[in-house]
Amino acid sequence: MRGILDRTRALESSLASMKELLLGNVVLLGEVPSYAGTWQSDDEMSSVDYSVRARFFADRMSELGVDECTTDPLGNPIGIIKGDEPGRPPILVCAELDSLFNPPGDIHYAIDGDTIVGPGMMDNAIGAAAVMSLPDVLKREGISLRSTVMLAGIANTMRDSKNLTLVDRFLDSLGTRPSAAIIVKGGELGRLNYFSEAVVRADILCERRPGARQVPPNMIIVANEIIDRLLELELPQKPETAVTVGMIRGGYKYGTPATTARVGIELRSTSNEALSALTNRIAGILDQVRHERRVDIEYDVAAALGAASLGWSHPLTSAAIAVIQELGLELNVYPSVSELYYFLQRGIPAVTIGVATGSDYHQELASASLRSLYSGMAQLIGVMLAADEEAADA
Amino acid sequence: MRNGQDWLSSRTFHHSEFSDVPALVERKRERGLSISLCFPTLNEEATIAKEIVIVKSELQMRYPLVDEIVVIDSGSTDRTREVAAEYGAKVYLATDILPDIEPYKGKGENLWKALYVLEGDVIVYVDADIKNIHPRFVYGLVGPLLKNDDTRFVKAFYDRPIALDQKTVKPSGGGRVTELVTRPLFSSFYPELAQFIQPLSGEYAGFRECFDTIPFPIGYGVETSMLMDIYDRFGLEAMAQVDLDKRVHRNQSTVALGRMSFGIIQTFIAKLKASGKATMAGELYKTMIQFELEGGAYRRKESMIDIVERRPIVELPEYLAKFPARAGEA
Repeated sequence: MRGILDRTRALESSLASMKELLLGNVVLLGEVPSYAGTWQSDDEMSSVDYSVRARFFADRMSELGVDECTTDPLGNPIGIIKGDEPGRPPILVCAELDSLFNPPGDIHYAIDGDTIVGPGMMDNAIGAAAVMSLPDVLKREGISLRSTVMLAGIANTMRDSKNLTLVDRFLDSLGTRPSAAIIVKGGELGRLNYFSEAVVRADILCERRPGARQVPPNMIIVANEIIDRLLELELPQKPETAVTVGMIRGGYKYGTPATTARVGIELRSTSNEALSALTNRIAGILDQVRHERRVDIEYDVAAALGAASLGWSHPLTSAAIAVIQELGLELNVYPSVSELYYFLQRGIPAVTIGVATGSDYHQELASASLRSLYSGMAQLIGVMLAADEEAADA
Repeated sequence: MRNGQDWLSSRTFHHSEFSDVPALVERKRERGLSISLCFPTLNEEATIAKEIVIVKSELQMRYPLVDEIVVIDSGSTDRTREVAAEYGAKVYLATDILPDIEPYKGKGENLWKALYVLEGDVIVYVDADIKNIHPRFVYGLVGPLLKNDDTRFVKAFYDRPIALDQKTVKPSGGGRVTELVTRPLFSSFYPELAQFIQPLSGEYAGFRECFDTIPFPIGYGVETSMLMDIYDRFGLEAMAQVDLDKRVHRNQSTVALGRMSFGIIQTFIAKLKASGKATMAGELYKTMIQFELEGGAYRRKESMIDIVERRPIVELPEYLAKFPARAGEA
């Protein structure tokens, strides 16, 4: 491990000499809108909705010299760098391709000194660009791994509320189980997720009942009643459990009672059982309001993740911590409420790391520090090397 | 119109025809050419870094198409020169080039002086205020020069969306000076040149002899004048244009465009007189008169726009000392 850590620290400075290549990848990928357009698969039978950014990611990796580039049945691009020992299971390095914040009109990034500025930068253009840059960086640094490396961009995660279910399906489509997976996020540098909280994200849809004889109630009032009841819930501090009301939408005219209202909530707990109990209590609340107000209430689960943990002492966790500390970064451990669970659930050792320091993640002027990306890329490669060594020892 | 439709169809390209950059690099090597890229700047700190990064990353480090990136600055008061140097461009202050010659200030001056410091056989000029810079802005311009032996000069054209404010972009309507001033003038006196979709675009490339053998107005009229001179000297068949798709840049006020139009008209008439295509009974006035509404009253605003022209740089002894092979052209 000492050798890997020394290599990682040396990489940080040599990456600075590739700043134009790294910046070029961030800008060119980030300026391709993640939401826009589709491209048709070469496979005429496929009906997958391919994003233009996914196409760019695939083309770019081919150009940068991966040994193979393919797409899975969902249209997710996967570049493959063959390892020296092809029989070993691969290491998967993946990043979401989508940006949560999408401005109207074209996307233009700007470079201002050490700062790169533009919408979608931190979530997740710079994370995806880091993964896309790996073939070039590894080649220029003369780094080869014994394990085959799969570099994947996961597209369309933000479309049509599909959210994380597409990550789940992406993992389903993999032919071989990876020996380790590194999930790359834009920020923040020093972040380490090796365990996940149980999470449910759901929409509560309130609608007037068709054919109702009484004057239908205002659905915003109904939604408000549900929110009030959610806020009255007494939640355990241990296992830590919380409800967040994150979104609300309803009505169409100032002077007309709303006929529909939608409330988006997130339930979190460090315990699967506590989350399950909370879900049952919420179902009870919705039932009560449904009958008392005589309205239709639907409960749509957009994503459900369980609590899982790779473990503090797992070699991949330890390696990630060692690399982060070797680079002098502040270690920031917290639970994932994102795709990590799907990996851990399948028994794939996985961690989530961030590659840059930035701000205003979901705004027009989201920004990232270029220098932090040198550390972030070095960290990513350091963890890959450690995973490669660990797989060899296993 | 002589050669009208033939030229338009045979000499109008799309940048995608030249997107195989490795093939262009190979063609450059076969022909033993070097390529210089010049960004003329004045207070472009917001965009210059990105322009340099994209060209350096894609067309130098990844594929060695561009041999040098040079910034010629008119005296920016922001961090343009510092930022450009930080990202690896060669940076010159225009007044430091040929310091013994009386200096002028203007884009044409930068372009003319650039010829002295640029080393390449092929020169590419790209404006430094492009927000959506992409490698196509360079490979699209040099592609026709490298692939077609008889093409000596290539001019860019594109959609020109106007940025109305930070949030709103109007998809068309750019090129007002082109449609209201330049194209009517070209249609009247140089109909062949009216076929250039964007005669005023700031992106063009050509072999060194296209630029060092022609005079350069130091101000607004440089693009118009350049087209007329290259046309007169090398003919329409040596010229081409390439579609670079969309170009996003700062929008100028109508008042500023008025001054630009005045400069273009002045340059154009001077060239007409010099070529014998028109005679004037007297001299033109050099002052552009405009009005501003201030406190409910119109206020007269005058701008002195004098047309100063740099003679062909190939006639300059300093230039010939540096590029002796060009001596026969003087």
